[in-house]
Amino acid sequence: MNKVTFQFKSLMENESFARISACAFLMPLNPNVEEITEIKTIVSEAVTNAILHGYDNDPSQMVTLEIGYDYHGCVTILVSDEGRGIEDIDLAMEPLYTSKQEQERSGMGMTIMQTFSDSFNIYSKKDEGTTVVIQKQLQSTQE
Amino acid sequence: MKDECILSIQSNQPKKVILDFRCVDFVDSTGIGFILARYKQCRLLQCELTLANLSPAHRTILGMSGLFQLIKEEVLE
Repeated sequence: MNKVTFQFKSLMENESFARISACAFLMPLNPNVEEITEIKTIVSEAVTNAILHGYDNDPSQMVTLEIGYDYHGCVTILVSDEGRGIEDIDLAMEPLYTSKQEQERSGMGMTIMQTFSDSFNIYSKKDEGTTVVIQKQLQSTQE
Repeated sequence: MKDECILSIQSNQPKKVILDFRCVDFVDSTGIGFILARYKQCRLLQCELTLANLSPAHRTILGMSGLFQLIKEEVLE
């Protein structure tokens, strides 16, 4: 088992830092190009949600990204915020649903995360925050 | 970049807009939102919007939203 935790300000410019750092941390597992793209996308979507929806772009707040893996190539990604929370998770999960239509959001973030992960869970409480927990088995390192 | 693109379409009112992905190394749902919004903007101006030089990874992500039913892809030289 190996694990890393990052905490960064709720700023969109930290989204690329988060996805690149996540992939750098997973390099010992030798993920293939497709797996790298999928993990980058998962992290990007989760972090974007935390910043944009959890914190409404409030840069005084902090987003936490935790990544762990075992030596069979099972990767766990946790992204949490202590923001506004999701009132209706089922609605938020619907493809193309977005609460921020005016900001040109596609409403595809949750669908993309779900598609690219083997297990995807959301824990959220109104005004307390949201944590997404994603597990993904890397085929390239599976024994 | 987003504002620049919106403004450029609005002020030039072209017949056609091609979004070239040759130098784009990462696309997520934010990109889908951007493309769909430009599609709507172009449609109002009766302008055609197409995508070019998509990688298989781009196609996978963009395809999830069904946007290829609305927007054509083309190959540039």
